[in-house]
Amino acid sequence: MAPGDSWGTVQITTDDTEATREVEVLPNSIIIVGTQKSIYRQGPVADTNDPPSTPALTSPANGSSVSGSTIRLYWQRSIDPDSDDVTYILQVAEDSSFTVNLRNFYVDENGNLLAGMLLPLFGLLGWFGRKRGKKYLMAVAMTFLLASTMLTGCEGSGATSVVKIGDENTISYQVTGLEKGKTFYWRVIAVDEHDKQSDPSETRIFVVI
Amino acid sequence: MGVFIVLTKIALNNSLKKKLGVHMIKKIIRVLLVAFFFTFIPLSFVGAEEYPWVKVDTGNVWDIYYDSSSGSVYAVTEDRGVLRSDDTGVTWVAKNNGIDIFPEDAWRLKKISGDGNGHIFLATQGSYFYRSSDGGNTWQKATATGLTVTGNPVSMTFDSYTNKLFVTWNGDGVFRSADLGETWERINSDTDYVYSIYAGKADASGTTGMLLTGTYYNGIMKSTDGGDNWVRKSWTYWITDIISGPNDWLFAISTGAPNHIERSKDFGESWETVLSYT
Repeated sequence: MAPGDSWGTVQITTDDTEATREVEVLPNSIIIVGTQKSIYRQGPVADTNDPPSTPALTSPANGSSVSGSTIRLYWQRSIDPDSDDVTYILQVAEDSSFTVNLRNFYVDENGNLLAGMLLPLFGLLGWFGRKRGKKYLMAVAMTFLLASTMLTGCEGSGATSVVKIGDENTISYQVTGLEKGKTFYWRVIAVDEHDKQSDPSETRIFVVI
Repeated sequence: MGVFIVLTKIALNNSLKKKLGVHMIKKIIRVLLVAFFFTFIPLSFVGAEEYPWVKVDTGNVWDIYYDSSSGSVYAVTEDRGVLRSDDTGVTWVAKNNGIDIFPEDAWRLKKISGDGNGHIFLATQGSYFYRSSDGGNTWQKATATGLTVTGNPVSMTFDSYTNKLFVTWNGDGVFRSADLGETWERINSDTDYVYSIYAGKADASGTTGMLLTGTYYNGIMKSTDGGDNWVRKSWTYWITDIISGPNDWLFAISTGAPNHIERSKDFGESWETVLSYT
Protein backbone atom coordinates (compact mmCIF):
# COMPACT_ATOMS: atom_id res chain seq x y z
CA MET A 1 0.00 0.00 0.00
CA ALA A 2 1.46 3.35 -1.01
CA PRO A 3 1.48 6.50 1.11
CA GLY A 4 -1.91 8.17 0.85
CA ASP A 5 -3.76 5.11 -0.43
CA SER A 6 -5.76 4.72 2.74
CA TRP A 7 -6.98 7.25 5.25
CA GLY A 8 -8.58 7.10 8.66
CA THR A 9 -10.01 9.51 11.15
CA VAL A 10 -8.50 10.59 14.42
CA GLN A 11 -10.86 11.13 17.33
CA ILE A 12 -9.91 13.70 19.91
CA THR A 13 -12.14 14.10 22.92
CA THR A 14 -12.54 17.82 23.49
CA ASP A 15 -14.25 19.78 26.21
CA ASP A 16 -16.52 21.54 23.77
CA THR A 17 -17.04 22.01 20.09
CA GLU A 18 -13.62 23.09 18.95
CA ALA A 19 -12.63 23.59 15.37
CA THR A 20 -9.25 22.10 14.57
CA ARG A 21 -6.95 24.69 13.08
CA GLU A 22 -3.48 23.21 12.89
CA VAL A 23 -1.76 19.84 12.95
CA GLU A 24 1.99 19.39 13.32
CA VAL A 25 3.78 16.07 13.22
CA LEU A 26 7.05 15.80 15.12
CA PRO A 27 9.65 13.03 15.11
CA ASN A 28 8.78 9.86 17.01
CA SER A 29 5.19 10.09 15.75
CA ILE A 30 4.33 12.89 18.13
CA ILE A 31 1.27 14.80 16.91
CA ILE A 32 0.27 18.24 18.11
CA VAL A 33 -3.14 19.66 17.28
CA GLY A 34 -4.23 23.23 17.81
CA THR A 35 -7.91 24.07 18.12
CA GLN A 36 -9.89 27.19 18.86
CA LYS A 37 -9.49 26.56 22.55
CA SER A 38 -6.70 24.15 23.26
CA ILE A 39 -3.50 22.42 22.34
CA TYR A 40 -3.67 18.64 22.24
CA ARG A 41 -0.79 16.22 22.07
CA GLN A 42 -0.43 12.55 21.29
CA GLY A 43 2.77 10.54 21.51
CA PRO A 44 5.56 9.43 23.76
CA VAL A 45 6.89 11.89 26.29
CA ALA A 46 10.53 12.67 25.78
CA ASP A 47 12.88 10.97 28.13
CA THR A 48 13.70 13.57 30.74
CA ASN A 49 15.33 11.11 33.04
CA ASP A 50 18.96 11.89 33.74
CA PRO A 51 21.60 9.32 34.65
CA PRO A 52 23.19 9.15 38.07
CA SER A 53 26.50 10.85 38.62
CA THR A 54 29.61 8.90 37.75
CA PRO A 55 30.84 6.92 40.75
CA ALA A 56 34.12 8.06 42.26
CA LEU A 57 36.45 5.27 43.34
CA THR A 58 37.99 5.74 46.75
CA SER A 59 39.93 2.66 47.78
CA PRO A 60 42.27 0.92 47.23
CA ALA A 61 44.55 3.38 45.50
CA ASN A 62 45.38 2.76 41.89
CA GLY A 63 48.17 0.24 41.48
CA SER A 64 47.86 -1.21 44.98
CA SER A 65 49.15 -4.67 45.80
CA VAL A 66 46.99 -6.98 47.83
CA SER A 67 47.84 -10.26 49.43
CA GLY A 68 45.47 -13.15 49.61
CA SER A 69 42.60 -13.94 47.34
CA THR A 70 40.12 -11.27 48.45
CA ILE A 71 39.89 -7.53 48.23
CA ARG A 72 37.31 -4.99 49.35
CA LEU A 73 36.65 -2.23 46.84
CA TYR A 74 35.22 1.17 47.85
CA TRP A 75 33.53 3.94 45.91
CA GLN A 76 31.48 7.03 46.58
CA ARG A 77 27.69 6.87 46.41
CA SER A 78 26.33 8.40 43.18
CA ILE A 79 23.79 11.21 43.15
CA ASP A 80 20.75 10.83 40.92
CA PRO A 81 19.32 14.18 39.75
CA ASP A 82 15.83 12.65 39.61
CA SER A 83 16.11 11.17 43.09
CA ASP A 84 15.83 7.67 41.65
CA ASP A 85 17.12 4.67 43.51
CA VAL A 86 20.62 3.83 42.31
CA THR A 87 22.34 0.49 42.00
CA TYR A 88 25.86 -0.24 40.88
CA ILE A 89 27.66 -2.53 38.51
CA LEU A 90 31.12 -3.32 39.84
CA GLN A 91 33.24 -4.68 37.02
CA VAL A 92 36.43 -6.63 37.59
CA ALA A 93 38.43 -7.95 34.68
CA GLU A 94 41.94 -8.88 33.67
CA ASP A 95 42.31 -6.29 30.93
CA SER A 96 41.67 -2.59 30.64
CA SER A 97 38.93 -3.03 28.08
CA PHE A 98 37.01 -5.30 30.46
CA THR A 99 36.71 -8.27 28.17
CA VAL A 100 39.04 -10.89 29.68
CA ASN A 101 37.41 -12.82 32.52
CA LEU A 102 34.99 -10.00 33.17
CA ARG A 103 32.92 -10.35 36.30
CA ASN A 104 29.97 -8.07 36.95
CA PHE A 105 28.70 -7.62 40.49
CA TYR A 106 25.32 -5.93 40.80
CA VAL A 107 25.27 -4.07 44.09
CA ASP A 108 22.51 -2.02 45.68
CA GLU A 109 22.83 1.25 47.60
CA ASN A 110 23.50 -0.62 50.80
CA GLY A 111 26.31 -2.60 49.33
CA ASN A 112 24.30 -5.79 49.08
CA LEU A 113 24.44 -8.00 46.06
CA LEU A 114 21.30 -7.93 43.97
CA ALA A 115 19.36 -11.10 43.24
CA GLY A 116 19.88 -12.74 39.88
CA MET A 117 17.10 -12.55 37.33
CA LEU A 118 17.95 -15.35 34.97
CA LEU A 119 17.84 -18.41 37.19
CA PRO A 120 14.01 -18.39 37.59
CA LEU A 121 13.76 -18.22 33.80
CA PHE A 122 15.98 -21.23 33.37
CA GLY A 123 13.94 -22.95 36.02
CA LEU A 124 10.76 -22.23 34.08
CA LEU A 125 12.29 -23.61 30.92
CA GLY A 126 13.36 -26.66 32.81
CA TRP A 127 9.81 -27.04 34.13
CA PHE A 128 8.49 -27.67 30.66
CA GLY A 129 11.00 -30.40 30.13
CA ARG A 130 10.35 -32.38 33.29
CA LYS A 131 8.08 -35.29 33.78
CA ARG A 132 5.14 -34.68 36.04
CA GLY A 133 6.59 -36.82 38.79
CA LYS A 134 9.64 -34.63 39.04
CA LYS A 135 7.92 -31.25 38.99
CA TYR A 136 7.69 -30.94 42.75
CA LEU A 137 11.39 -31.68 43.02
CA MET A 138 11.97 -29.01 40.36
CA ALA A 139 9.94 -26.48 42.36
CA VAL A 140 12.03 -27.16 45.44
CA ALA A 141 15.20 -26.82 43.39
CA MET A 142 14.04 -23.53 41.88
CA THR A 143 13.23 -22.13 45.32
CA PHE A 144 16.64 -23.19 46.57
CA LEU A 145 18.37 -21.65 43.57
CA LEU A 146 16.48 -18.38 43.94
CA ALA A 147 17.28 -18.19 47.62
CA SER A 148 20.92 -18.97 47.05
CA THR A 149 21.04 -16.33 44.34
CA MET A 150 19.86 -13.75 46.83
CA LEU A 151 22.94 -14.52 48.82
CA THR A 152 25.59 -15.16 46.23
CA GLY A 153 24.73 -12.96 43.26
CA CYS A 154 24.05 -13.73 39.66
CA GLU A 155 27.45 -13.63 38.13
CA GLY A 156 30.98 -14.18 39.17
CA SER A 157 32.23 -17.16 41.03
CA GLY A 158 33.94 -15.09 43.62
CA ALA A 159 30.94 -13.15 44.95
CA THR A 160 30.36 -13.14 48.68
CA SER A 161 27.98 -11.44 51.07
CA VAL A 162 28.92 -7.90 52.03
CA VAL A 163 29.76 -6.21 55.29
CA LYS A 164 29.29 -2.48 54.91
CA ILE A 165 32.33 -0.49 55.94
CA GLY A 166 32.90 3.23 55.95
CA ASP A 167 30.58 6.24 56.07
CA GLU A 168 27.11 6.33 54.56
CA ASN A 169 28.36 7.94 51.38
CA THR A 170 30.71 5.07 50.70
CA ILE A 171 29.76 1.74 49.22
CA SER A 172 32.02 -1.27 49.35
CA TYR A 173 32.07 -4.75 48.01
CA GLN A 174 34.37 -7.63 48.67
CA VAL A 175 35.57 -9.67 45.75
CA THR A 176 36.96 -13.11 46.36
CA GLY A 177 38.51 -15.87 44.31
CA LEU A 178 41.37 -13.76 43.01
CA GLU A 179 44.36 -15.54 41.58
CA LYS A 180 47.80 -14.65 42.82
CA GLY A 181 50.19 -13.00 40.43
CA LYS A 182 47.48 -11.45 38.31
CA THR A 183 46.65 -7.82 37.68
CA PHE A 184 42.98 -6.87 37.88
CA TYR A 185 41.17 -3.84 36.49
CA TRP A 186 38.06 -2.52 38.19
CA ARG A 187 35.51 0.20 37.69
CA VAL A 188 31.94 1.02 38.74
CA ILE A 189 28.85 2.09 36.77
CA ALA A 190 25.81 3.59 38.50
CA VAL A 191 22.34 2.64 37.24
CA ASP A 192 19.09 4.36 38.13
CA GLU A 193 15.73 2.65 38.49
CA HIS A 194 14.94 3.36 34.84
CA ASP A 195 18.08 1.50 33.79
CA LYS A 196 19.85 4.66 32.72
CA GLN A 197 23.55 4.22 33.33
CA SER A 198 26.18 6.73 34.33
CA ASP A 199 29.49 6.89 32.57
CA PRO A 200 31.90 4.32 33.91
CA SER A 201 34.13 5.51 36.71
CA GLU A 202 37.83 5.78 36.24
CA THR A 203 39.57 2.42 35.90
CA ARG A 204 41.93 1.35 38.64
CA ILE A 205 44.17 -1.67 38.88
CA PHE A 206 45.38 -3.84 41.72
CA VAL A 207 47.88 -6.68 41.76
CA VAL A 208 47.37 -9.84 43.76
CA ILE A 209 50.61 -11.00 45.31
CA MET B 1 1.85 -18.36 13.79
CA GLY B 2 0.74 -20.48 10.87
CA VAL B 3 3.94 -22.48 11.08
CA PHE B 4 3.21 -23.33 14.68
CA ILE B 5 -0.35 -24.42 13.87
CA VAL B 6 0.88 -26.66 11.06
CA LEU B 7 3.59 -28.19 13.24
CA THR B 8 1.09 -28.79 16.01
CA LYS B 9 -1.28 -30.56 13.62
CA ILE B 10 1.56 -32.70 12.39
CA ALA B 11 2.47 -33.52 15.96
CA LEU B 12 -1.07 -34.67 16.68
CA ASN B 13 -1.35 -36.82 13.58
CA ASN B 14 -2.15 -40.38 14.54
CA SER B 15 0.15 -42.00 12.06
CA LEU B 16 3.01 -39.92 13.35
CA LYS B 17 2.12 -40.90 16.87
CA LYS B 18 2.71 -44.49 15.92
CA LYS B 19 5.98 -43.69 14.24
CA LEU B 20 7.42 -41.32 16.80
CA GLY B 21 5.73 -42.50 19.91
CA VAL B 22 3.58 -40.56 22.36
CA HIS B 23 6.53 -39.49 24.43
CA MET B 24 8.22 -37.84 21.46
CA ILE B 25 4.97 -36.14 20.43
CA LYS B 26 4.57 -34.67 23.89
CA LYS B 27 8.11 -33.37 23.73
CA ILE B 28 7.43 -31.68 20.43
CA ILE B 29 4.30 -30.05 21.84
CA ARG B 30 6.25 -28.82 24.86
CA VAL B 31 8.89 -27.28 22.61
CA LEU B 32 6.21 -25.61 20.50
CA LEU B 33 4.46 -24.20 23.56
CA VAL B 34 7.71 -22.83 24.94
CA ALA B 35 8.66 -21.35 21.56
CA PHE B 36 5.23 -19.76 21.19
CA PHE B 37 5.30 -18.36 24.70
CA PHE B 38 8.69 -16.75 24.36
CA THR B 39 8.38 -15.66 20.73
CA PHE B 40 4.90 -14.50 19.90
CA ILE B 41 3.61 -13.20 23.17
CA PRO B 42 6.45 -10.65 23.55
CA LEU B 43 6.16 -9.76 19.86
CA SER B 44 2.46 -9.08 20.24
CA PHE B 45 3.32 -6.07 22.36
CA VAL B 46 5.76 -4.58 19.85
CA GLY B 47 4.20 -1.56 18.18
CA ALA B 48 0.93 -2.01 20.01
CA GLU B 49 1.50 0.94 22.24
CA GLU B 50 -1.07 3.64 21.68
CA TYR B 51 -0.84 7.00 23.28
CA PRO B 52 -3.90 8.94 24.36
CA TRP B 53 -4.62 12.48 23.31
CA VAL B 54 -3.73 14.83 26.12
CA LYS B 55 -4.86 18.41 26.45
CA VAL B 56 -1.57 20.09 27.25
CA ASP B 57 -2.50 23.77 27.25
CA THR B 58 -5.17 26.28 26.36
CA GLY B 59 -5.35 28.96 23.72
CA ASN B 60 -7.10 29.95 20.55
CA VAL B 61 -4.52 28.43 18.23
CA TRP B 62 -3.90 29.88 14.79
CA ASP B 63 -0.68 28.18 13.84
CA ILE B 64 1.91 25.65 15.00
CA TYR B 65 5.49 25.42 13.76
CA TYR B 66 8.10 22.79 14.53
CA ASP B 67 11.66 24.06 14.25
CA SER B 68 13.64 20.92 13.48
CA SER B 69 16.94 22.75 13.88
CA SER B 70 16.31 23.47 17.54
CA GLY B 71 13.65 20.92 18.39
CA SER B 72 11.34 23.61 19.72
CA VAL B 73 7.68 23.87 18.85
CA TYR B 74 5.91 27.20 18.52
CA ALA B 75 2.21 27.97 18.68
CA VAL B 76 0.51 31.25 17.85
CA THR B 77 -2.58 31.87 19.92
CA GLU B 78 -5.05 34.70 19.77
CA ASP B 79 -5.31 35.10 23.52
CA ARG B 80 -1.85 34.17 24.84
CA GLY B 81 0.38 35.21 22.00
CA VAL B 82 3.35 33.08 21.03
CA LEU B 83 3.93 29.89 23.03
CA ARG B 84 7.07 27.80 22.85
CA SER B 85 7.61 24.22 23.91
CA ASP B 86 11.06 22.74 24.35
CA ASP B 87 9.84 19.28 25.31
CA THR B 88 7.93 18.21 22.18
CA GLY B 89 4.72 19.89 23.22
CA VAL B 90 4.35 18.66 26.78
CA THR B 91 4.75 22.09 28.39
CA TRP B 92 4.42 25.56 26.85
CA VAL B 93 5.78 28.96 27.85
CA ALA B 94 4.60 32.34 26.52
CA LYS B 95 7.23 34.21 24.49
CA ASN B 96 5.97 37.69 23.68
CA ASN B 97 8.84 39.96 24.67
CA GLY B 98 9.12 42.62 21.96
CA ILE B 99 5.74 42.00 20.32
CA ASP B 100 4.37 45.48 20.85
CA ILE B 101 0.87 44.67 19.69
CA PHE B 102 0.55 42.10 22.49
CA PRO B 103 -1.65 41.84 24.45
CA GLU B 104 -3.93 44.61 23.22
CA ASP B 105 -4.00 43.43 19.60
CA ALA B 106 -3.02 39.83 20.15
CA TRP B 107 -5.84 38.78 17.88
CA ARG B 108 -3.72 39.96 14.96
CA LEU B 109 -1.07 37.28 15.54
CA LYS B 110 -1.65 34.54 12.98
CA LYS B 111 1.24 32.68 11.34
CA ILE B 112 4.65 31.51 12.52
CA SER B 113 7.51 29.86 10.66
CA GLY B 114 11.30 29.79 10.50
CA ASP B 115 14.26 29.45 8.21
CA GLY B 116 15.81 26.50 9.99
CA ASN B 117 18.85 28.63 10.60
CA GLY B 118 18.02 30.34 13.85
CA HIS B 119 15.34 32.76 12.72
CA ILE B 120 11.67 32.58 13.65
CA PHE B 121 9.13 34.73 11.84
CA LEU B 122 5.75 35.99 13.01
CA ALA B 123 3.20 37.36 10.54
CA THR B 124 0.13 39.24 11.68
CA GLN B 125 -3.07 40.64 10.36
CA GLY B 126 -2.22 43.94 8.75
CA SER B 127 1.34 44.91 8.01
CA TYR B 128 3.10 44.01 11.27
CA PHE B 129 5.93 41.56 11.00
CA TYR B 130 8.24 40.27 13.72
CA ARG B 131 11.45 38.28 13.74
CA SER B 132 13.35 36.49 16.49
CA SER B 133 16.89 35.20 16.41
CA ASP B 134 16.92 33.75 19.92
CA GLY B 135 14.15 31.22 19.80
CA GLY B 136 11.38 33.69 20.53
CA ASN B 137 12.87 35.00 23.77
CA THR B 138 12.93 38.44 22.18
CA TRP B 139 11.21 39.71 19.05
CA GLN B 140 12.26 42.52 16.73
CA LYS B 141 9.66 44.40 14.77
CA ALA B 142 10.63 44.55 11.10
CA THR B 143 10.25 47.73 9.13
CA ALA B 144 8.26 45.60 6.67
CA THR B 145 8.71 48.05 3.83
CA GLY B 146 6.43 47.18 0.94
CA LEU B 147 4.13 45.04 3.00
CA THR B 148 0.93 46.75 1.91
CA VAL B 149 -1.64 44.30 3.17
CA THR B 150 -4.84 44.49 5.15
CA GLY B 151 -6.01 40.89 5.42
CA ASN B 152 -4.92 37.89 7.38
CA PRO B 153 -1.75 35.98 6.56
CA VAL B 154 -2.76 32.42 5.79
CA SER B 155 0.47 30.70 4.87
CA MET B 156 4.19 31.30 5.32
CA THR B 157 7.28 29.36 4.25
CA PHE B 158 10.99 29.89 3.85
CA ASP B 159 12.53 28.72 0.57
CA SER B 160 16.02 27.48 1.37
CA TYR B 161 16.88 27.31 -2.35
CA THR B 162 16.49 31.03 -2.85
CA ASN B 163 16.87 32.07 0.80
CA LYS B 164 13.66 34.02 0.53
CA LEU B 165 10.63 34.19 2.75
CA PHE B 166 7.15 33.89 1.28
CA VAL B 167 3.87 34.86 2.92
CA THR B 168 0.40 34.69 1.42
CA TRP B 169 -2.29 37.06 2.60
CA ASN B 170 -5.97 36.36 2.15
CA GLY B 171 -7.05 38.64 -0.69
CA ASP B 172 -3.67 40.32 -0.93
CA GLY B 173 -1.68 37.78 -2.91
CA VAL B 174 1.86 36.55 -2.30
CA PHE B 175 4.70 38.61 -0.84
CA ARG B 176 8.40 37.77 -0.94
CA SER B 177 11.27 38.98 1.25
CA ALA B 178 14.96 38.46 0.68
CA ASP B 179 16.10 40.13 3.93
CA LEU B 180 14.30 38.22 6.66
CA GLY B 181 11.19 40.40 6.49
CA GLU B 182 12.64 43.91 6.42
CA THR B 183 11.50 44.65 2.86
CA TRP B 184 8.85 42.95 0.78
CA GLU B 185 7.74 42.74 -2.81
CA ARG B 186 4.42 41.52 -4.07
CA ILE B 187 4.88 38.87 -6.74
CA ASN B 188 2.65 37.77 -9.57
CA SER B 189 0.57 34.88 -8.29
CA ASP B 190 -2.28 34.71 -10.82
CA THR B 191 -4.82 35.31 -8.05
CA ASP B 192 -4.98 37.34 -4.84
CA TYR B 193 -6.56 34.45 -3.01
CA VAL B 194 -3.64 32.15 -2.25
CA TYR B 195 -4.26 30.01 0.80
CA SER B 196 -1.19 27.83 0.96
CA ILE B 197 2.40 27.94 -0.15
CA TYR B 198 4.97 25.16 -0.20
CA ALA B 199 8.72 25.29 -0.83
CA GLY B 200 10.74 22.17 -1.54
CA LYS B 201 12.97 20.37 -3.97
CA ALA B 202 11.98 20.29 -7.62
CA ASP B 203 13.19 16.76 -8.35
CA ALA B 204 14.62 13.74 -6.64
CA SER B 205 18.16 15.04 -6.82
CA GLY B 206 17.27 18.05 -4.72
CA THR B 207 19.64 20.30 -6.64
CA THR B 208 16.92 22.79 -7.54
CA GLY B 209 13.86 24.01 -5.72
CA MET B 210 10.30 24.87 -6.52
CA LEU B 211 7.31 26.65 -5.06
CA LEU B 212 3.70 25.52 -5.07
CA THR B 213 0.67 27.56 -4.15
CA GLY B 214 -2.82 26.41 -3.38
CA THR B 215 -5.49 28.89 -4.34
CA TYR B 216 -9.16 29.56 -3.88
CA TYR B 217 -10.81 27.88 -6.89
CA ASN B 218 -7.81 28.59 -9.09
CA GLY B 219 -5.98 25.34 -8.65
CA ILE B 220 -2.41 24.55 -7.75
CA MET B 221 0.31 26.75 -9.24
CA LYS B 222 3.99 25.88 -9.59
CA SER B 223 7.08 28.05 -9.90
CA THR B 224 10.63 26.90 -10.55
CA ASP B 225 12.21 30.37 -10.65
CA GLY B 226 11.67 31.52 -7.10
CA GLY B 227 8.17 32.84 -7.65
CA ASP B 228 8.69 35.05 -10.68
CA ASN B 229 6.60 32.88 -12.99
CA TRP B 230 3.84 30.40 -12.26
CA VAL B 231 2.21 27.55 -14.18
CA ARG B 232 -1.13 26.00 -13.24
CA LYS B 233 -0.82 22.26 -12.55
CA SER B 234 -4.26 21.37 -11.30
CA TRP B 235 -7.78 22.71 -11.44
CA THR B 236 -8.74 21.75 -7.97
CA TYR B 237 -10.87 23.53 -5.43
CA TRP B 238 -9.97 25.50 -2.38
CA ILE B 239 -6.44 24.29 -1.48
CA THR B 240 -5.84 25.08 2.16
CA ASP B 241 -2.58 23.24 2.64
CA ILE B 242 0.21 21.52 0.71
CA ILE B 243 2.55 19.19 2.55
CA SER B 244 5.28 16.70 1.72
CA GLY B 245 5.07 13.03 2.58
CA PRO B 246 7.02 9.80 2.11
CA ASN B 247 8.77 9.13 -1.22
CA ASP B 248 8.90 12.87 -1.90
CA TRP B 249 5.21 12.68 -2.68
CA LEU B 250 3.10 15.77 -2.09
CA PHE B 251 -0.39 16.04 -0.66
CA ALA B 252 -2.83 18.91 -1.08
CA ILE B 253 -5.78 19.42 1.22
CA SER B 254 -8.82 20.72 -0.63
CA THR B 255 -11.88 22.11 1.06
CA GLY B 256 -15.33 22.16 -0.48
CA ALA B 257 -17.25 20.55 -3.35
CA PRO B 258 -16.47 18.01 -1.84
CA ASN B 259 -13.56 17.94 0.58
CA HIS B 260 -10.77 15.86 -0.82
CA ILE B 261 -7.06 15.12 -0.71
CA GLU B 262 -4.86 15.27 -3.80
CA ARG B 263 -1.56 13.45 -4.24
CA SER B 264 1.35 14.18 -6.54
CA LYS B 265 4.13 11.69 -7.23
CA ASP B 266 6.07 13.94 -9.60
CA PHE B 267 6.88 17.06 -7.61
CA GLY B 268 3.61 18.79 -8.33
CA GLU B 269 3.47 18.24 -12.09
CA SER B 270 0.31 16.12 -11.89
CA TRP B 271 -2.23 15.44 -9.18
CA GLU B 272 -4.69 12.65 -8.40
CA THR B 273 -7.53 12.50 -5.92
CA VAL B 274 -6.87 9.89 -3.24
CA LEU B 275 -9.69 10.70 -0.85
CA SER B 276 -13.05 12.46 -0.94
CA TYR B 277 -14.92 13.08 2.28
CA THR B 278 -17.70 15.14 3.75
